[in-house]
Amino acid sequence: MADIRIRMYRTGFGDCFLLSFGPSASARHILIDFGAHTHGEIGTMDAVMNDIESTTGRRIDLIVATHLHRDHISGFGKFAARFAAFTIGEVWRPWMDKPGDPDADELNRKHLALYAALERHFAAAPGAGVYAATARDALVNLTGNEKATSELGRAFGTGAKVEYLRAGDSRSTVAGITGLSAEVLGPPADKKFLSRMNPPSDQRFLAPPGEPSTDVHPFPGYELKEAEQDFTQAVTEGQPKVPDDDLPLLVENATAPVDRLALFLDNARNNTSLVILFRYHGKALLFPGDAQWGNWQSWIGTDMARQLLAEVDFIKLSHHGSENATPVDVVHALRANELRAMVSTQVVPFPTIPRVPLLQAVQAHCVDDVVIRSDWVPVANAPAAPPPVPGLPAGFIAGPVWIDCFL
Amino acid sequence: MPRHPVAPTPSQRLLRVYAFDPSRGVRLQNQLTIRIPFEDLAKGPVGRKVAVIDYDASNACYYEGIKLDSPAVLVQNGLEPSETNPQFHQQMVYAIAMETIRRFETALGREVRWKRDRSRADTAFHGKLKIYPHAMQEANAYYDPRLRALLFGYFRASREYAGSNLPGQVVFTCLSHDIIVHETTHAILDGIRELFIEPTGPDAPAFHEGFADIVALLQHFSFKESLLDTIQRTGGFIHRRQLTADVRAESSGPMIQAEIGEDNPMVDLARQFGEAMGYRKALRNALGTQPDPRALAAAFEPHDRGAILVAAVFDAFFSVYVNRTRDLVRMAYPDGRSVVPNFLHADLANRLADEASMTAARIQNMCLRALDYCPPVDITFGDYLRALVTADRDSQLEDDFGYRAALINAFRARGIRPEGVFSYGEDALNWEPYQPTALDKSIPDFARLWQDVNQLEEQSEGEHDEATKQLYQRLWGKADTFSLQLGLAQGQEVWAKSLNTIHRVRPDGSLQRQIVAELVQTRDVPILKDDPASPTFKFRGGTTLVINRQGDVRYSIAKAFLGQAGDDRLARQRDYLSQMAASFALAPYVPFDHQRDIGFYGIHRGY
Repeated sequence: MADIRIRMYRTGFGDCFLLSFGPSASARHILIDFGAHTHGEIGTMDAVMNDIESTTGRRIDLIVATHLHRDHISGFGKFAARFAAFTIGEVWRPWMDKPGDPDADELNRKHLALYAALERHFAAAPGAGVYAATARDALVNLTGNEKATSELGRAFGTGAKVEYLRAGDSRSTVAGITGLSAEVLGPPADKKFLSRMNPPSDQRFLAPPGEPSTDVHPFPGYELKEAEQDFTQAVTEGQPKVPDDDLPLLVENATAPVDRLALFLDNARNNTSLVILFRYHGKALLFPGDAQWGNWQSWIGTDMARQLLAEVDFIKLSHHGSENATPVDVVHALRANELRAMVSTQVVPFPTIPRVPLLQAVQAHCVDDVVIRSDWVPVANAPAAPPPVPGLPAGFIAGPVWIDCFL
Repeated sequence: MPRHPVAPTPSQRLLRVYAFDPSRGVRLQNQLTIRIPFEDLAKGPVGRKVAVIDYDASNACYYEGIKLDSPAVLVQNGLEPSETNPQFHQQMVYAIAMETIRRFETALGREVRWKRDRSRADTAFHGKLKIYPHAMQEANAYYDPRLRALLFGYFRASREYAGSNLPGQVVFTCLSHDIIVHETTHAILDGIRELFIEPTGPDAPAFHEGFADIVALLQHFSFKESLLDTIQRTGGFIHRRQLTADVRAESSGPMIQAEIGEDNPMVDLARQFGEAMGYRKALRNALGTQPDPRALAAAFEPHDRGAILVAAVFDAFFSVYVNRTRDLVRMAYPDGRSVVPNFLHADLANRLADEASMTAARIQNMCLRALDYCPPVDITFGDYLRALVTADRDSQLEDDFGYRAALINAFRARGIRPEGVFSYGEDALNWEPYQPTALDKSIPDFARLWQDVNQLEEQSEGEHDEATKQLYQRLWGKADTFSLQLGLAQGQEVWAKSLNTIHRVRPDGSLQRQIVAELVQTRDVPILKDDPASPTFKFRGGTTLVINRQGDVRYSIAKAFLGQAGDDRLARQRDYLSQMAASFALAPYVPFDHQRDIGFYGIHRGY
């Protein structure tokens, strides 16, 4: 027994993990994320906060905020005043969240501009695009995080050190906890990664919907509108016209697929996630936040990465078990058995999450062939996991709003 | 009796265009008068092959089409290059699209035909490629196979860093020579091998992109003025990325423009676009990064992967050029001094320019002709190397100046490995000559096909459609009868995708006539092997037949459909599709649709 307890809280659609190291009386604690999606909250946030306080005795050695999505940080805003009364050792955040970093600032500014444009767009035309509803749910996750963000930035005023980390950083001792080390595997900060994070730079997204006209009129004096006399005249002189069948496609080509842009933005933010591998007395724990393909891609694929993945004893599945958040290569590289895996998930608000075939693929590597889902914790009026709900294997114990994993 | 001799119909039309794009300014080297075959043009211009329709869907308006045949335009070789005159833009897209078509026709020895038009024959512009020079406000330009059209966007340049553009100025993709050639090439390639746009593996979409870049970049070496400038300013090393400044600056750094070096325009693709996007450089470059055999395994994005193909071809081009010109340099500098940029003798510079443009033209011919020797589906870079070698050996057995050797070495240095080939030897890379299976004595004989083809060529346009249909039916029947001998799967429907006759003059002056036909077989299979309910895709196999004048099959360039080889291909294709689904940015929320998301259109419109 390495004396590790990983407590996965059920916040709804969101992440909150409390890691405790050492015998319970003298245990040291790490809190990784604390949030719930606006449309995925199930009324357990207060209970979770109460438990964090009582379990840690208001003393946390390290708080990790993997990325700035509401479903990972809303608790830090909501309960900022209570966290202010904690003794906190350190706060870790991804480099993308560092104020004043020129690369980060530029990208964040672009994302915010795109976000603002999309928000206006959806406000004016709520149904725009095939995936409008999904896109809006993804978008809402980016909002209302200002308080949490600023509180994390100042460590709730506790004077704790705030560190901004990137792939390649490592700590031989984490926050003074003897025997605990960490390697940061993501997010990278190279050019290639940055360019993937770049939103399509088109000002036309800033135009309100329903108005084809945009801010650029390349030849203001020469526009011929179809209803006008001049156009009729030009046609009699042989002006070619768009074939009727082609017009809808041309218009579609010229129209911004706003729903997809919103999802792009969500994806980009997820990829800023800190991916951390903790090691404690021979056990390796992988916490990838919401890393999606672009983040993983930067480090998987090497022999070293495969070896590292084969050593993992515990994995928190990325991005609530969605497709593309745990690439097939990663699943294959995981140890063949005796793996422990948890996923904080719920079928509301995104019906495509979690992705069942992915969970099945990971299960095959796990103790008793089970991936532990947070929505197995029964909560009144909360969406239930689809049956069957298996019993917990040895080493897992369920609590009122959590499930513990002992290593 | 006519009272005077009648002036002959002109054979050429002269039109002015930008050699690169407006960002290179109005300097002499940036304006070009190109000669394209003369045709009667309606307003637009609308000709026999292309129709320029200036409709702007973002602003829901038209810009009036140019009459290239009006006297005022004719007497000055078209309108003067201008960013602010939409009619010049129409002229430029027309001129460069036609010039690109002309180059393909010369190399291929036949007319360029677009992808089959499935609209009714009386639809406006039926059978033509439509070009929309100001289709939408977007930093993008693409060929849309659904519309059979080239769409060029316009956009504001980056406000932070716009390079030589004015920050925030409007940039037109339809004024970039490179972009027009690139997109036109997509359309032509789609007409030659319609199934190459299907996402059958990492190489297929990358091939489309890389090939279009190769054609666009090779074009640069026909611009004599710019080429001479580059030769002077690189001391003849035209592959170098930087041009030396006209005069050397003091140690404190350049003070005037003539002291500032600049990027070599010959090897840059779409510089204005790249700078306007804030990339601080051209969109892409001919040589990219140093050759690395492992790079191929890591490059999935079609443009990135295509860049490896581009680099391989340009490595070969520059290597041959250097080999061909070493003697000239030695004669000019017999004492072994190195060449000093800007101090080349004008005669030497001229000779070097001639060699460079000849070499470029030859490489381009090789690249275009190889298309006829590609399999009908599922192209890989390795297949293309084999096609390059076979096509060139077919027209010329001797590898004078080492073109083929240079190509083979360049491909090898970049880790491009043709499948099922024992070595990089020329004869190993040559497609296996067709040999009928020993089991069956009957050998498919396509002599009748030649008769039909000849008849077809004598018919007038009106009778053409019916005759073509019959021709295809004949080919179909033949393919069915001889499916086994041709390497096709038996008992599966065969689809004759295309049939082309080729007339080529070999370097030795002799005429070569061949028929190239594509035969394809298709079946629907689920993406996931073990899940019949998963979305399906069209799995295809087939063969490209190269048939000589006697009606004998010379090559059957096949992609297996059934059997072990077919299953292997299917497994690889499934892996590719699942991998693409996994890397698809919107995967968590949006069900992946391979047609939409990694199809040709998806790549260009995807986020």
